[in-house]
Amino acid sequence: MEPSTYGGPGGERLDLAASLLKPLPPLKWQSNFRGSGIAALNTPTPSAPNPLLSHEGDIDFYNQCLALPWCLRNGTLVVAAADTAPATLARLRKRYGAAAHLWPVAKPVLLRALEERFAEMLMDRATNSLARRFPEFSARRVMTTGQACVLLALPVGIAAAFYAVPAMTNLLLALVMGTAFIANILFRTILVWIGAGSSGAPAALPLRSDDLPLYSIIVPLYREANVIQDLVAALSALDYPAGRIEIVLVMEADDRETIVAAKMHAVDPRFVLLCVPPCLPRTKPKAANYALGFVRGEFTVIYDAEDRPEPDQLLKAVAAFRSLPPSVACLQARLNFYNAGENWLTRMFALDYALWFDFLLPGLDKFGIPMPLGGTSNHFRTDALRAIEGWDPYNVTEDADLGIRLALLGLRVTTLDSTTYEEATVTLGDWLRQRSRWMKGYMQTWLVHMRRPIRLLRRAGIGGFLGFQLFVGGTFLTALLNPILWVLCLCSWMFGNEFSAGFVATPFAHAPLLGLLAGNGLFTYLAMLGACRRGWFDLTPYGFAAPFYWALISAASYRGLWHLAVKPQHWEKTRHGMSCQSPRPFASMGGDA
Amino acid sequence: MTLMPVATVLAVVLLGSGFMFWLIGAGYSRAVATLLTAAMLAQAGPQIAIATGQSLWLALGVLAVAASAAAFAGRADARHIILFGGSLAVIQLLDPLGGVVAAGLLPATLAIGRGRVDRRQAMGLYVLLMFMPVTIAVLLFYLTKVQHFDSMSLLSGSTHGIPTQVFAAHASLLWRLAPALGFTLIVSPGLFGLRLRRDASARTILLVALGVAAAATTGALLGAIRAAVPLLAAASPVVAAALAHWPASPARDREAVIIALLCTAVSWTVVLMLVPEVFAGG
Repeated sequence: MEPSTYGGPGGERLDLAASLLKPLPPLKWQSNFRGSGIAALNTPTPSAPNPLLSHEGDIDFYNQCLALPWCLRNGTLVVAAADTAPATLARLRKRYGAAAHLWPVAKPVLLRALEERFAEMLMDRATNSLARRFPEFSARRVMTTGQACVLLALPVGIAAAFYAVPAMTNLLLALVMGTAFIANILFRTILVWIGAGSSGAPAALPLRSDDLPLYSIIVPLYREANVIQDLVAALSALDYPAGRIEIVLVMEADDRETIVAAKMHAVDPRFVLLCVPPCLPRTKPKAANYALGFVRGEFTVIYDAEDRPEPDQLLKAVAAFRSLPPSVACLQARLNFYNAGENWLTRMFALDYALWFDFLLPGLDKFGIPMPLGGTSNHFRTDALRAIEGWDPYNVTEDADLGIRLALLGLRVTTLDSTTYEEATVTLGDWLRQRSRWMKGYMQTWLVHMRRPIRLLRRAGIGGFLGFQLFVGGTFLTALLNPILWVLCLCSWMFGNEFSAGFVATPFAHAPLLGLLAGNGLFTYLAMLGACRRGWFDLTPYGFAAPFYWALISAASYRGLWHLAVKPQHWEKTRHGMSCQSPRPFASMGGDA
Repeated sequence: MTLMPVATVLAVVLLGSGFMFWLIGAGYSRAVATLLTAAMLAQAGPQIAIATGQSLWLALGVLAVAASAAAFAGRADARHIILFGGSLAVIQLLDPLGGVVAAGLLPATLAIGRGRVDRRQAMGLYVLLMFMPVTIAVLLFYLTKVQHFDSMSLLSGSTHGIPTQVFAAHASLLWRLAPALGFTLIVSPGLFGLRLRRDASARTILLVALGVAAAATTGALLGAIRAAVPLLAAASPVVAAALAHWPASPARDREAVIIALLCTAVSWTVVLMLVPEVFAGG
């Protein structure tokens, strides 16, 4: 870890010792100190804090107050402080007494000192706190012994049954597959109907600037140097008072290109740059957890590097949080793509996303079924997020897992009627990597929460339990079953009765065929409907290609299954900045029909 | 007199509930809505008397199409698209004439969809609207022609036996056009009042009525429609649609009741002229 790679947003090489020697410019703090009852110090001090004066147990206090006990001078405690707001000074006075001296420093300097002083502890917390406190919710262990036994026994049992009673086994398998397939699609159809009548959390209320709380934005970045400039522009365009927003760009310490680009472009004082020391697992949730230790906002949102949130999204989120009960811990904004029309894949992806975020998630919300979050634009009450130990660093769809976990711990997730535009993957390779990670993550999430099915049933209720099976389990199960059903049907068609006699011998055994046709038909229709809310009817005819798109999803699912077996926690990075279409102005991005 | 089949009773209940729900939703009091519903059911009464419940299923189908088309004309969101497309699909399952009616409504559908989106997006909207009706049409064709399965027998247990026989006796061109003429005659008082309104829902109901009449004419000329009575029963939902969108005024209730009674009277007159043998035979 090279200290010189850390630090300030000014693009300068931030050396801690050198920074400390620079006197701060005349600031508001000088007036704040008057009457605070605490003395200010503005003379040179040691370049590093005395580690004996600060304690790991107080890390949250240090982060919240942006302060750190630094040294003893003539028996008087000197506390470095980057936040000199009266309320913070009062907290510091209460904690350290009127005799302590405060030493005003710049925020990047303080954060840098905190990172250095508590590096090991911060990393451990980002990586292991969930597994320590809620081991049953951590995907560090892929599956329990019991689950492994069941998963091994299943194929053995089926093989034995085939050997003993082949016809009955065929029939039962056909029925189970067909029923599971059609049940999942029907469930989605119901969700679409319900979701179509939902408009998300209440729209923005006129809020006075003084009523707005500090809002934190976390953006994990890895190999994103090429999109930093656009990201900074998009986040700078957010309609929120500059003094009440902090944007934490969290990068990997060995990702020098991104760090350099961030230092070059994120010069606004709203931006805070953090670097995560390299250690496994190298995942986005671990970086987000690391950043969570530093954020100070009442609310926190996570964005991706290529995100273009609608400018009023934070205002809408605050208004929604204010009007909803405290049990609503998270708002999921809608996601879609600014490059939807780039090629066939992006069009299909856009239909897929529109269906998911405009219909299915609002449907789950209305039913009160645990909602798997989408990977970005999740707005949280920061306290609630901390209380459940943030994201699972070992889960590659940490977002989906977090949504379920929030629900199981008695908190609610709802949708927010605001859109964040992203970049759809434009090449098949990128799409396949991304989708197989998602499928692997859904399998991980399902395995984690099915470790104790009875407890899940008790906590989620019968509706939530079934919804979880159909929505989380069904997502990868139908994708895995789809090619099997196609093969069965093709064989039946090619070999006719000869094949049918052995495989689909009874009327019930037509379940796979029925499921396949009805399922693909409904899937096609639902894909087309996805375009409705945004009025993107020019995309509708592409819905006819949904069965082919579904075949791709199946391929990604099998790849995800393989990866779950061989490298369960490996995070396959999605490349951004590959689109030749740049984001359009928000006014032309479509709206309700 | 034989007991009415369960399917007929079910159709009457559904039709009456549909009328009540729609009229109360349109702002009529319960008392007026009940009176109007009774009149509408009495308009469809000849079919109940004939006890071919299947004809009422067509009325139900037309009710669904008219209601969903009017709603779609008001707002083309996902639910209304599903309902409109779904009603055009379901009407084919309810009655043999349903397919012809759905086909006849195709131009009306295009007209309703026009203006909701720009030309570039129109194709997508039509594809979405037509997906369910076309899928059902293909499925019915497959079941009927390949599997030789009569899906209509599920609802009534019979096809239009009596009216078909009656109609066969009067196979002249005039008689072939009689169902469409009768239908137009019945719905015309309702539509005449509605004509004064110029909003999208009112225009949509006119289009639905035109679509049904055009389908009836085409079907009759091609020999696809051989039964007059079921089509006449389909007039009541169109009249109910017109009443639901009747212009608001202090005299609205009175006008609606007069229109409903007028339609009922015309309907009975037409039926008695078209199929006297039915009642003579019964």
